[in-house]
Amino acid sequence: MRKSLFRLFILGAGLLITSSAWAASPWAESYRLEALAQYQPAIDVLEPLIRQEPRNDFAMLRRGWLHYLKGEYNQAIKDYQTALEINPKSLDARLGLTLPLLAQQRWREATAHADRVLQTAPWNYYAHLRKMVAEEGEKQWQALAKHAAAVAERYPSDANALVYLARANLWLGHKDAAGKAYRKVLERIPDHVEALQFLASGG
Amino acid sequence: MKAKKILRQYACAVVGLALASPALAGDWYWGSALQGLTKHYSGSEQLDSLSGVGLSLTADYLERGGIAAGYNYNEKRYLSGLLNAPQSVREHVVFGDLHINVYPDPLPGPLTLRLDGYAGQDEIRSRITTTLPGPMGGSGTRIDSHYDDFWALHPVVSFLNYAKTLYLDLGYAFSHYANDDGVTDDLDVRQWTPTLGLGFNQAYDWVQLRAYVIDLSRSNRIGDKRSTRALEAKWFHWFGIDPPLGLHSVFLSLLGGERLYAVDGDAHALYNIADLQTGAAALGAEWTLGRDSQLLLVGGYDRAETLTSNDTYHGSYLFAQLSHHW
Repeated sequence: MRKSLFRLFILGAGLLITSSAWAASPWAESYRLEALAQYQPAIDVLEPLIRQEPRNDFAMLRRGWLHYLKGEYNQAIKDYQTALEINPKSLDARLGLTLPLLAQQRWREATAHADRVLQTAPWNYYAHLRKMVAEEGEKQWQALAKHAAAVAERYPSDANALVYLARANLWLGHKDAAGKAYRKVLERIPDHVEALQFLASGG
Repeated sequence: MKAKKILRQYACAVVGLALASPALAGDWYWGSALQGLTKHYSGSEQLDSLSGVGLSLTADYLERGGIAAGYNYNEKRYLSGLLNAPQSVREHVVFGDLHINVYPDPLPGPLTLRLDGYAGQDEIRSRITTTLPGPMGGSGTRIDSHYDDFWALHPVVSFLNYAKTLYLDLGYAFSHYANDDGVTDDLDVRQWTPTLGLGFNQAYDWVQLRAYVIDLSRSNRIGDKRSTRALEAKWFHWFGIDPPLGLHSVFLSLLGGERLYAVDGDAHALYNIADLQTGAAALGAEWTLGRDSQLLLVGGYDRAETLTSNDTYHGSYLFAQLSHHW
């Protein structure tokens, strides 16, 4: 009995030491600082990990994300590209790249990366979402309507695709189809402002 | 004549590229445009009409930059029976455009660095009465041509914010006009064009103001004129849902002041005759045809004065452009 209690004590102490060590890790500190919107300090604590060999693609992804949040889109693009060089199969890096590109309204370039993801993972939700953002940016209403309908079919609980479907139909002059899509949005998000405004305006 | 051969080869290359480009897909986005212009002059002691055709091709690599190339042919006809004017002027102009977009993080929008280049040749055709007998006896006539070459370089740096509410650009153009008739002086033209554009009404409307500050070298082709100043104002309106007549957009353009030997980068046009523009107005409408084509129709009016003869006249024109991208 005494022996078992001693073993339990050793295990508990080990877990405590390990968890407190992780709590003090650069990763944990970076997440904590990000939550406080302190993006540069969140980047700074990662620097030792980024300088390590072999290179850590996740550290580059993380720094790219933080640069994106900071509005430093060119640096974010470089970080995501470096992550892609380290791990050419990384879908995360390609999806990451679409974020600063969309922020810079580089719709075609973002679409090119989303398409590369879709070659590997044909119904990757985020790739489709980023591509729909680009289609809206380029005012490709016919393409967006067709695309959003296909995404909504595959992700029936998602409201985003339905919003894009409604917007595209509105621009194409298909008000009934737009209203139908907005009503479905309200089934998923009852206080969705855009859908409520459309229906309140008699749509 | 060598210049003419080069122009012809360039025109063939543009047409060849236009035909081959659909096969070159990928991250390049291609566009092409065909255009036609017809213009009639009123009140002129010399000018009768002008007609022109053009073809251009654009290629953009994603949103990083692109190139454009084009060829325009114009023929200006003079009133018949004049002793002091040519019968017609045939003009060949080729142009190229190279631009890159950069996205500096401190700026809320991209900067575009653009360089346009133009090269052209005017064939001035005059009817010469000879003392030699013609086919039916008496004196004969023949067409005599001489050629004037010209070129222009037009760098522009521009900024457009992401919200599409502010546009700024600064353009500079240097143009050189040569003459081989032994009488008319060569001419150098320096042009500055600061531009301000403002978008409003949720980007459905756009107003653009462009100043033309033009300085000219001493030349007997322009009399005493050494500089001109003009202001061009344009208003664009884009239609949203349920547009009238299926219109995509309309625009109104007005020009006040004086403008001579101007380079118009928006239209890829050189105003390369010694006629002082003293006012212009144009109204344009654009339709979207299908998913990838547009039709632009523009009707316009301008007032001008020939500096060497004080011939004041106005011209009215119709311009059509069919463009397609893929």
